[in-house]
Amino acid sequence: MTTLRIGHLYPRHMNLYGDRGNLVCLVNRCRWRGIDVTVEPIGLGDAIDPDRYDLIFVGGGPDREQGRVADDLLSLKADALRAAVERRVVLLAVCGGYQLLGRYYRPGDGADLPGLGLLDLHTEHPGHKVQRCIGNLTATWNGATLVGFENHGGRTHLGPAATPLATVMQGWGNNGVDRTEGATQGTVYGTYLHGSFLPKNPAFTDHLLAQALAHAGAAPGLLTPLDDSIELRAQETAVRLAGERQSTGFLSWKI
Amino acid sequence: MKPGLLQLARLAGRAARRAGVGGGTSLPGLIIERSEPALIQQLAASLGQGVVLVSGTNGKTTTSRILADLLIAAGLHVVHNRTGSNLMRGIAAALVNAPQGELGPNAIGLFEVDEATLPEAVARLSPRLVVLLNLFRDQLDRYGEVDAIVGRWRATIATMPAQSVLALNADDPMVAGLGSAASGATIYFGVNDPAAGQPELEHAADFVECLACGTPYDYTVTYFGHLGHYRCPACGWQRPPLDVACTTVRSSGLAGSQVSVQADGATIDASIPLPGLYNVYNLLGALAAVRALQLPLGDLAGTLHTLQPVFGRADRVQVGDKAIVTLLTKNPVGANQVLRALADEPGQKALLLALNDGVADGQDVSWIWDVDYELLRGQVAAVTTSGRRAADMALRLKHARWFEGDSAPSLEALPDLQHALQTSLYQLLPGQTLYVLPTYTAMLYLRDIMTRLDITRPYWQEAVR
Repeated sequence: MTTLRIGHLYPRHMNLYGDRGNLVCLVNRCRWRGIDVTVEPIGLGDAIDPDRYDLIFVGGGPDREQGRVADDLLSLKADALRAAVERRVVLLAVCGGYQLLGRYYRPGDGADLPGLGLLDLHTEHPGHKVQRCIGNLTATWNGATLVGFENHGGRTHLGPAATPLATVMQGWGNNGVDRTEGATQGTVYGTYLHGSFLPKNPAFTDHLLAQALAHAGAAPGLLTPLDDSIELRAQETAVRLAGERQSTGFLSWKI
Repeated sequence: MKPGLLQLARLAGRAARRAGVGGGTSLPGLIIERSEPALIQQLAASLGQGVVLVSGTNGKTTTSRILADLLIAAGLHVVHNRTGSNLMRGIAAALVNAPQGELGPNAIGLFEVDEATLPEAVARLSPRLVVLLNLFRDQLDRYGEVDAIVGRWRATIATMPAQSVLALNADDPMVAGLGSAASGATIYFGVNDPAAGQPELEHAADFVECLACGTPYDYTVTYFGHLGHYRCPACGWQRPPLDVACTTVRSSGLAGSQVSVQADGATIDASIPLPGLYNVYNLLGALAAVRALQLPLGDLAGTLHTLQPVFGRADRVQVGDKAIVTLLTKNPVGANQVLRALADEPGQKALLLALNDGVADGQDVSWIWDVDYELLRGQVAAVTTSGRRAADMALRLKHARWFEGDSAPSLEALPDLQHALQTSLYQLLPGQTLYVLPTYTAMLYLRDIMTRLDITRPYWQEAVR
């Protein structure tokens, strides 16, 4: 019997936008298929065993926590996370967590904040006088739709080793300019989407679970189809409402 | 003063009310704000007993209403933005609409103030007393983070003169910590009943650390959100001693609570007809204000007994042999309190949850994932979700695993609120109650629908005092 082991990075410090929903969704979509699953919190000051998890999740946090979490990541967890990712552990990061996986974060004022470099990208905050990227976001990923809500000041630019996760249909995405949203590199995934992200995007959730289960050594075929009718209705609603906001001129590609 | 303008603004408000335009509550205020903002200071200065401001994420309206009743019982004329219109224009409207005889030596201004508006309200109204209730995560897309509000409040408090008094919730470390910025007196209120606590901080709790040194607090008691008995393990800063303390709380579910409150060595036993520990804090905020104003409490039990729930705050309406109870849920901490009170009610419940994503609700609906809907699992007979985000709410309840097991309730997602209300009511058995949990704009819409369907009782259509 396979048990999927999930590590939740900084559950107290990085949980700003309903990020718990992502964990609840991963756990339920396993349980509904009879797959055992465990979730362990990994907090500030905790060391990580790179062989302990099949999937690691980190959410978004308030600005004041960003610096301290970045310090903790670099000083205590960088080597273990790098080793885990090399062994194809799935790493999903949302919003603030996503920014920390890049090479650096350049605040509106002050010194650059170095990141983990697990994603080839960097983020620059244009200063508090420039509009934040806030609103409903829809994007296409592998021919499917991703929906969620974004709320970030920083603009993220991808380097050659990272692949955009999705193409923006409505909303800002990584930087409001190149219509990319999120990034992926190996088994590392980052996105600005919350809302929560995974519950409304079941196909993407199963894409992550498939890789995590492979890491856990599970036999293929465990991810049996589920009734996703409520999920897809929520997704359709999000697409419709994102279009509505666009038509009122709430969003613009030009910054 | 320009009486001409004042009369014009009052006339405009009356005309708007007669025409049914948004009740006309804040229109006169808007006119004055746009054309002669200094008039507000002049009107406020004519309040002989000064101005009291009430702010915080949750409980502003209810606390102000309890306090208004206590002030009236103490013999004062109260000028109050009673409808909950809590930006500067709403305060201006309350001042402009006050009958001229009421602005005199015996008059007191009582204004609930939006968290982001508090700095401006303090600067312009020079309050004699500011009551600060709590700060929770709420509408992140609109207000920014809680930290930003704390910072602005702190700077505002530092500008207040020494004769101004602060009444602070001691159990909220973010609010209690503001006391160190005050040059005047501070009065702390809170709950001293560990039996009313929970074993650990809930998911919705904001992460709070010591203002002095940045270390996370240790809690010996947690009530809800980040409220509780806390102490910094590094520097020793801790919850201040209480001036107004609730020593026992006994909950009777949605019917309310019995409390014992100690202040100035006296013990007050009271019954509050509003549910949940959050309303106990609202009562404490009002009692702390009365103490800060050095007024007599009068017949407290009598005053509380006649409290009427505000629409959307656990008010009950009879519809033939069925009933509707409306419980506003607008942020995680408040929603959890509502769910706890509901879970204390016996029996299987019929629920209607209406989730909107308007500007006043917060356009980001991810907050529902921080709410512990799991608390009601196994206690729900039927559920309808509604509002613009009806499907999001249905999905949240699916993940709270309401629909698993033998006694799984039926689910309908009906975005149109009138349709949802009528369907839910129709499916109710005689003698049953429908619990409606709307977000803010859904609540306003619900009130319109219920008025249109003639199933409202007039008592929440407030008589103008």
